[in-house]
Amino acid sequence: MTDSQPAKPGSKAFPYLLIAVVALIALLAGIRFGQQDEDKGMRLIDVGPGAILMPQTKVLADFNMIGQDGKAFTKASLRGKWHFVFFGYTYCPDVCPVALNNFREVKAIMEVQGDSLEDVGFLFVSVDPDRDTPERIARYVEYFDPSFIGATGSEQELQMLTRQMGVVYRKVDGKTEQDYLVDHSAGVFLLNPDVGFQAYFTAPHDPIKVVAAFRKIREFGE
Amino acid sequence: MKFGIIVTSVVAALFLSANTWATDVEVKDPWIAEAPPGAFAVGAFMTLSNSAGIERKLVSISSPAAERVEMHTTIIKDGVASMVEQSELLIPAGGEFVLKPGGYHIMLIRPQAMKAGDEVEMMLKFANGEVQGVTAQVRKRMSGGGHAHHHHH
Repeated sequence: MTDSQPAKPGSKAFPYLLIAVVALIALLAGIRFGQQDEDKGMRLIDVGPGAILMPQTKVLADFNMIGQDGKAFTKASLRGKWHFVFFGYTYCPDVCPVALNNFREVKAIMEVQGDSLEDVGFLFVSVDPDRDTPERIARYVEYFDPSFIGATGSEQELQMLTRQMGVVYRKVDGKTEQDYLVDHSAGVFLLNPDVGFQAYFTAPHDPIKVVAAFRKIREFGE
Repeated sequence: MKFGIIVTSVVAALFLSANTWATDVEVKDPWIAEAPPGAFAVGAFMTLSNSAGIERKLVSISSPAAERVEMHTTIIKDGVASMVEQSELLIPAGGEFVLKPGGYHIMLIRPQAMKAGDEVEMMLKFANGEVQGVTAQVRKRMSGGGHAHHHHH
């Protein structure tokens, strides 16, 4: 940094003062961005096996889907609560029931062990809108727990959400045109109360480990 | 006359035991996972135990409680789950084949409505022509995709 001699516009020292001010701003900005390293320090915290913290918590851009109640389902529908999210389809006979049953287990463990559940929700997104109507999704999620929520949307609407989270899905031909299967991401995605994509839990899921990891994530997020 | 009865009994016993020898596959703990109403398919699980000296192959399954029955396994690769249909399940000689949630499973497609406690009949057909009837009980899923272990024999 240059010396602090005051200078007026037009004087020979003014360009140097300008550079100094710009340099000072840059330095302060650097310190501010450096504080994100503190945030990154959280990434180094061991949250347990099978849980991956996102290097940067990306707040999702808005999306426009339909909920199991037939009403608009957007970021606003999720804001204010943590959400465990699973992407699947109701025609799925194995992976999806296991995942939603694991959600049930996660909820039960937290209830029994006294964790606050006021700000925790469980969301099932169907990536098979051709067959999964909101009504069908409602019957499906409510079977596992009446508090679970579901959503779907047109291809475009789904992509607005899935692309942001790296969610993959594709139809697989079945015995008949109506009986196709769908390959889909098997992990559980964690969204924070600001609807930021915070963490990912790899399959297969152990509800006990998921709860333990979530507790740590929640503690450091507050 | 008595000799005739003895011979008949011995021959009958031999036939019966021959059938027993042919039925080398024991089906252990067959169960079906209760599913949400209107489910397209439900999963059936069991352990197939083969006491024979040669492998056995399960090649098809039928059930009056479903439109059709398929055998699948779930594969998770690079974080993506897919189901792969199996044309046969190979039970090794003197070994077992386990069907469980998240792994190999039987899919009952377009099943009748069923809930925990119901019993469902299935016919297991093996490559050697053997057919075995199985009665599976519908149970609620428990933690880890398993099921309640009550009334174990």
